[in-house]
Amino acid sequence: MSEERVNRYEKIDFLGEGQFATVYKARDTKTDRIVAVKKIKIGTRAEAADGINRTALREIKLLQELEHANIIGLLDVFGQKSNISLVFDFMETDLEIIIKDTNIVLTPPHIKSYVLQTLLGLEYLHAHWILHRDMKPNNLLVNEQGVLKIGDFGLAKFFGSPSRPYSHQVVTRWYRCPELLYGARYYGTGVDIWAVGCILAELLIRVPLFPGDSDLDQLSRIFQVTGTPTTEDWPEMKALPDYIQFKEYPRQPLKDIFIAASEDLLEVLESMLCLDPLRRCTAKEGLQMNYFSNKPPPSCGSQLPQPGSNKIIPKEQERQKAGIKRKQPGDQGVLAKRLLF
Amino acid sequence: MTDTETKVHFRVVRFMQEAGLKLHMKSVPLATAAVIYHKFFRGNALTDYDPYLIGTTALYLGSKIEEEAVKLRDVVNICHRTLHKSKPPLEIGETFWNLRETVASCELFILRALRFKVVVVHPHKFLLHYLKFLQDWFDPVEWERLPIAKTSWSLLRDSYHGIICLNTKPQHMAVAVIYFALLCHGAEVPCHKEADTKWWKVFCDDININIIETIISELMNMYDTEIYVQTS
Repeated sequence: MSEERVNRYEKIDFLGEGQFATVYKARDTKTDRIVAVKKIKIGTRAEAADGINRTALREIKLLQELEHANIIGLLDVFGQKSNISLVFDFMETDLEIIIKDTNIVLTPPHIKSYVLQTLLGLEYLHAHWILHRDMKPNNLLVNEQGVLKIGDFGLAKFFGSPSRPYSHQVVTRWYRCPELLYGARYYGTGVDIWAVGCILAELLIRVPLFPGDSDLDQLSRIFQVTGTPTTEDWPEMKALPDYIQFKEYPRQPLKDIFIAASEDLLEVLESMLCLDPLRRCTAKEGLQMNYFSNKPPPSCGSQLPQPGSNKIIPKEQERQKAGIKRKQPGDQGVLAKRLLF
Repeated sequence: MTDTETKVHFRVVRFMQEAGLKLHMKSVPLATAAVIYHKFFRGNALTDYDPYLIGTTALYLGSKIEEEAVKLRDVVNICHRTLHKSKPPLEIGETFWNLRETVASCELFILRALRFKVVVVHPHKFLLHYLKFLQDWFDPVEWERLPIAKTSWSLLRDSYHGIICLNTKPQHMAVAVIYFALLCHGAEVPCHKEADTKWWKVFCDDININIIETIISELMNMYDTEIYVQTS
């Protein structure tokens, strides 16, 4: 059975290597569809001795239950000897690459489309009681048709058990919300929404909004924008395990940072980057905000940019480069670029 | 399934529950483990595999799936101890490492056999909600006196000794154990006789008394197996 499955996917290209897995681009010989095969490493002896990797198990468990246009599709899972491979929709690129590609101009309709698709995926996840817990541009995958899909469910978890504490060491720091930075063990969908807020900001200014280099630096960067919260802004703040009082920073109007952003967009941003998680908007509420129904309408698929498309480098080569780059977060060779929005 | 098979599975699940308890596993991971075990033997012959190995591995896998992971080391030690009560506890040595490796590779094997379909919706959460509802309908003193919650929870736990869990909707299972528990204690839901809608219909729209009775008779059969297992 599994021999058949292994041969079913014909390796085309190496895409990247992560901590737990190697990813290949492959052709499904049965359907002729291009897919991404993620082969879970059973590398070290210690890992092999503990059986199946928990991150992989989580991805399998959650993704099998989910089906949505903006969630990465798990097409197949197969095992061979001591390996497990997961077969996903093949995605050309991701938002991190798009944001960093200085040849790409992101217009307001582009940005609206990406945020809209992200929120639609997230709304579906949250409605199914799943927290993603690792929302970042690198995990928002985009295919050739411009469809954005949320990927990497290695940290995702069912939520809703009120009495169960969770780890606060989740979400890549730059996209981590203040309650997690303060050590909250009981949290909800707000952690994903905060991250989307950061991503939206990054789409506008083309550099991370809060690139902190430690948890404390992260909080102080946040407060330099939002202003240091008072008990009125965020009543439960002082009860959090790692709470500390910060120096008083004044609030900086978002309008001054995102000078060219429209009013309705700033309203969305404001609501996603609300310090008190209980006052932060939900995915559903976010989608109902004026920004999404106002003009200009979001771009549809074919109008969305493709990375490297206006470069002289042959496309194949560039794509490969992009794939490898995918696995190097934190590499920041690109200059910030302010654009019209 | 033959009688002998039913008895073997009963014994193995009892072993799993005993080991699981010693491992401080909670009800849901234990239930997942039992479902994995039964699903595996629904598709594979008992003569081809050691049921205790499958049971031990199912415990480990169940704990991982429900995000309440126990250490593989502990699983191996405790299952060995539970299975071989007369032998001395397992020492770190070749036997231990071999067993550990066997369970680790068996885990992947089970996953493949189940085609990686490991999500189980259990009756536990439904049972909890239904009981909470019933509690509000009952007279508080009466409710205190009757161990309805405890009995139905125990009935549910016991049900995993058989394969009822594979063919029954979780909501139906939850209603049936409450019905059975009420019956055991000679209790009745207040105003049950006068009510136009039966209490089980309130919880679960697609259930009827026939379904409840079928589940209960399956449960009784399972308890009959217990008698045989104990005497043989």
